[in-house]
Amino acid sequence: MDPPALWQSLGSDGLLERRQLLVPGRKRPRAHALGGVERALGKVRFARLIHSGARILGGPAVRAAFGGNLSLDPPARWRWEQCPDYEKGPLSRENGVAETSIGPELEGTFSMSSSHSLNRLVVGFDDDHSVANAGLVLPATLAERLGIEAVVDGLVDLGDRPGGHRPGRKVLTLVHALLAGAIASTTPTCSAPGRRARCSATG
Amino acid sequence: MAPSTLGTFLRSFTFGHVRQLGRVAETVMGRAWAAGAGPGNQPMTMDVDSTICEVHGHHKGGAAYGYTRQLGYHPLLATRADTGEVLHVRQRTGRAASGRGAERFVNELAGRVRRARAEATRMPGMSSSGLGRPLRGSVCCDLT
Repeated sequence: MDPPALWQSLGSDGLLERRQLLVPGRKRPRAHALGGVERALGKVRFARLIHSGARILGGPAVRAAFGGNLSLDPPARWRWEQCPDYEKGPLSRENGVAETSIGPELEGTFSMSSSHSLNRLVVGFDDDHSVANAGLVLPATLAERLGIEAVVDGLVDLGDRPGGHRPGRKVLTLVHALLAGAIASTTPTCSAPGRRARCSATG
Repeated sequence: MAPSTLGTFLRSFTFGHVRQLGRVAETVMGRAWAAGAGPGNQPMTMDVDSTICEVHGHHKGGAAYGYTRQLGYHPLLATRADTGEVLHVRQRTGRAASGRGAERFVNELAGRVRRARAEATRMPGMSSSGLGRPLRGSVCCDLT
């Protein structure tokens, strides 16, 4: 089977099928439940997920937003007839195996580069139907926009007490832990009600 | 077991530091209202009530048995009636009467909301007609 025909015959998990077809004699790897690939000796590799960009599952809305075509053309580096190192094997590093991650003909799924910058996110209060438990990115963005860490660093002064360095960072840790579902923490004994007489009030 | 970073941090707090955190909450609320989360110039209804937070264990500071015969705390809460946003909280011991500290709590609440509204109206793009006005709306207290 020539490489273009092989490329067209790949299914939704193109990389997995490629490795299965092009390495004769090797035990067929199985798709892992968490998205990785289970290989021999029980090792689970998630390299494909690591190298790939953010995958956004799209339905009709996403399909319409991208012109109704979510299929991706095969990368040029997989056109093996143009690769001078094809004699070393199609899965060698020289053929760009370690870099490729995009599977062709993904139904309703496409890859795009993810953004690690919060500057691209905007938090608004223009929806009356906003609900909690909608994720952590937007609350974290809102916390950064409101400047909670700087406010806490400016207003809370623990002096030389243990843990008094950068209280804003620790408060944000608590806030984000509560957002993520933390249910238990160490009870501050002195700030608990009814224990004021045993604490030295400094504020 | 070695103490955790957050545990050490929280154990360093005194009641004065709790008041400092109250100022932090007030400042952040003002900024959020300035960003559009506030009521603007519309009337706002605030609900003030106490609640029972049941806890378990014999080493919880301030936990006591109240009128519900449950071991826990008895804090005061003030929320916005339309959105449920928590405006003010005051932690109290479990044996506190329902109206204990309510007057001071409502006074603090009124000042906090007034300052937050003033900060929201100071921001560009917002109407400044609410500056200097007395607190509008109503306070619904259920502290019987």
